[in-house]
Amino acid sequence: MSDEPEKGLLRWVTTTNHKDIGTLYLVFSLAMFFLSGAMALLIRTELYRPNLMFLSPLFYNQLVTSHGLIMIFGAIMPALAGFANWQIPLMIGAADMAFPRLNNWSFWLLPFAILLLVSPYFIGGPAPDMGWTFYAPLSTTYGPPGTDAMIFAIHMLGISSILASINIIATILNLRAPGMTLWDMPIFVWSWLITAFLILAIMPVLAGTVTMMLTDRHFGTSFFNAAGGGSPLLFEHLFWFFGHPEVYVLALPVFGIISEIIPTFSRKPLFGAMSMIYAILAIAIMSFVVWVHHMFTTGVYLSTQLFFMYTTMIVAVPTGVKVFNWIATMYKGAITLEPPMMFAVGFVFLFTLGGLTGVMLAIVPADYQYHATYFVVGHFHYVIVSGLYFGLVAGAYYWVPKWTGKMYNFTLASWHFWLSLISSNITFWPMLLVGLAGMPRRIPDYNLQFTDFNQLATFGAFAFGLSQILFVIAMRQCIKGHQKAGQTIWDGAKGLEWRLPTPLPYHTFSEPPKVEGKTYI
Amino acid sequence: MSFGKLLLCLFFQSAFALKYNMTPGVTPMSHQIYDLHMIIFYICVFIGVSVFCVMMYTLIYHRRSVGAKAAQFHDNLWVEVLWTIIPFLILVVMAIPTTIVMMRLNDARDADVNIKVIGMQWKWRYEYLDHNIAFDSNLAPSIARAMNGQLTEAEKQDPNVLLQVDEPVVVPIHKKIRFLVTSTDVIHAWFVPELGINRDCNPGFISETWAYIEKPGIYRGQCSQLCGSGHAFMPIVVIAVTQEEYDAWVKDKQAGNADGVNQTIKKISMSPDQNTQTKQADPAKAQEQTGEAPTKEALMEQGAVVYEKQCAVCHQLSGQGQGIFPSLIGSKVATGPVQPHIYQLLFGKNAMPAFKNILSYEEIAAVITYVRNMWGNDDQQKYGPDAGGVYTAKDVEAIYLKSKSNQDKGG
Repeated sequence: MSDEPEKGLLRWVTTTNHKDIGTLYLVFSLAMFFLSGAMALLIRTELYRPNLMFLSPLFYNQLVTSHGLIMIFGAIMPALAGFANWQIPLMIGAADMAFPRLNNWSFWLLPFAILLLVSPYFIGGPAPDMGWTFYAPLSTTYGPPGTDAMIFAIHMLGISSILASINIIATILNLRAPGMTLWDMPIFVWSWLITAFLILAIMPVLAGTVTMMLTDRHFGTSFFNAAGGGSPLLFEHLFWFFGHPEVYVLALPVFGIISEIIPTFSRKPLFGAMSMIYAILAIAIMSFVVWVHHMFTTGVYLSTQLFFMYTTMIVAVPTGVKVFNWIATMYKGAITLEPPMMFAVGFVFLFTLGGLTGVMLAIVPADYQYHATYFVVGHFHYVIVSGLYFGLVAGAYYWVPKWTGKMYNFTLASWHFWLSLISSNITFWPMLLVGLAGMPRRIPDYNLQFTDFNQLATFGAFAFGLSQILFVIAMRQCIKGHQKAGQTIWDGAKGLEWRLPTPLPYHTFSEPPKVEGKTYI
Repeated sequence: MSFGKLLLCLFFQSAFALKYNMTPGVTPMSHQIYDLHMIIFYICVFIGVSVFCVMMYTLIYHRRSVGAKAAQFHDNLWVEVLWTIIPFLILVVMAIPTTIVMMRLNDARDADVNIKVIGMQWKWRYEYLDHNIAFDSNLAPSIARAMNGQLTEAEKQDPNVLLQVDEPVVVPIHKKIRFLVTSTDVIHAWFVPELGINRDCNPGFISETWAYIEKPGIYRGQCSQLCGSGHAFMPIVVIAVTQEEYDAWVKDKQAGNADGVNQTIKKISMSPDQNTQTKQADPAKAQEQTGEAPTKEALMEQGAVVYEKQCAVCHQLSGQGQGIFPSLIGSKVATGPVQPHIYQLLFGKNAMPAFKNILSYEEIAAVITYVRNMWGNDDQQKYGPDAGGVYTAKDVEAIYLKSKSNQDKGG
């Protein structure tokens, strides 16, 4: 094991270094974010005014599908894996991940999986056009040939996530520095430990579901075909048994990032650290018994609806505890608003909005009116874009200067924050309102009465998309810029990673550090 | 609307509050749904505002730049217990009225009128189970043109351009109406906000929902579950009328009296759906009645009408097809022997629906003739002796009877 990275492009193909692989994950996810974001802008352009303008309904549906799948599997999950790769070994005092070669493979499956997913656009034949939830029988009997590419892409993405999760679990359980008990670990590491188990539980379900789709499509089975004794509802149950915990797979690590950042810039220990961990655990466990809340309008029994309504409402309790804890952490602190903290506060603000609309959606009778309208689209974009994406950006502004030894321009990052905050609200707030007015989601053309707020959302979407270019510039400054970051980057930061030199050497903690007690107090 | 004006709207939403809120609807259930929605909305606003107030206070007064010194507390059991229990109690309070409304919503027993709602790509079929009435309901401006962005300027100006149909559902007010929803192909959803109904139509399953409409009117909705390319173009129009008008409508409908039906609809609707009165021309039928075989021109004319309404959605007006829907230009089925062609129209194949219950023999014969003589499909030198041809209802009926007897023999 040499101390310096190899030269040339081959370094990135053959690397087993957790920092290199983390970088690969993050760069890849940013590229996918822009690819998928461009699709979103095409969608918003078509929706700028009523009547079809330049997209055919078929192509529109393909864009809707690819936008969702790529954002979730290509942008957010790899970004989380990137942070896990960089930060988990640094935070627990390990030299690297437990299985470095496996780590390399889990990353390199990704670009090819996404390539397979988008291949139908290039080799002809429509790409999958049934939405990211690809409900049967629209995806089986009626699915275009590109659906098969999607099925195998999902298999590959699933393998990648499962391997990464095994790696993370093995690293956390076995490679902690001597003296660090599980309860001493930073919250970010805790959140990823729980998330990794979630991924292990749900990805095989998704893999099984798409395999059933494959055999329904080509081998004459009827899992999802009522004519052969199957049921389209079975598909929805299986999909959402994966799909709902998946939402928390995306959210929990971001909760972890926020729980690191807020104490740093409040210069105060995280309030209720234990209850934070228990809240994450509670959310993770509850996430397995709420899936039917995506299916209240399918005609499931009243008793089923009631059970899943109650469980869904209960999830709000631990989620609320987390928000209250973050605010209590800030309370009576000595707050400074550097860019990471701005985005973290923005996260708490907008994620709470997303969460409250989620409570509204849990009320089943009201859900009959919200279901499959733009209210749902607004809700989950508040959670994912102005919630989770803000959290990820906060993480990048927080840790990247430590990794590279270069600092970005604070004014630039502040502009990035304010533009993102305003434009994301201009985009998603009107969606909530047109949804209430009854505009269904996933339509390429809408009736005249929805025009004004759709135009507003389109303006917002373009402003938001263009604002993200500032983020790329800031990240470039961290890599190629001239402004050096000092040894102490954030004066309130605690934890093992901040004791290391800036920039981080290629190999860290070859000798495990001595840890006594909690790392984050 | 200019960008500045839009921004103003965002901040002064009072004017928009009515337009952009959930509709209170016109049924007792939709009123209760609306009330629940407003209660939970105000609770959420209250929670949100309280949380944000504390947050803003902290952000303003506990900043290092205003001289705040960081306290070092990091636990407080009582506070933590309190903010776990209080939200839980709020949720319990919320769950009780919700549960009561849900039990009412799910009780579709003892209905006065039973209507089966069948979703299919991309239209609705309604079957009145008590009156032996069944009809299809399509987007009133042609769906094929709407899907290709070819609506006329006049149509685009219509405030309900995408929310009107050729045959609306007519129901009586002050009666419990049970809707049995299902689908023949993919999952659709029958979504009429003012009735408080949003119910998935699952192929192979029937689920029930109901409405008790309080006042006459036109209530519009559309499919809310992604069902393919035409998803945005399968609207729903429910017209609620008094019992007398409903009875008259049923009588006319059963007698096949299109004029009477339109009279009823016109009477109730302030702005009648224009296309309801333009029934398709049926020259072939007229000639049938005079005893002569229909001419090719008449068949082509009728076939074009049927084609635009039933086929162009998938196979396009140009016949070129789209996506998984094959091109008809020079296709083996459309240029080869006619028997498999007719068979496929009658009984369907994969994504192609069966038309035996949707089109008459005359209509099938007309559209077969149309497809086989359009786009150069009748070029016998290119496609062989079977290409082209003129076919009548008798040919279609013969194939239908033959396949039926084969099925009977096969058991």
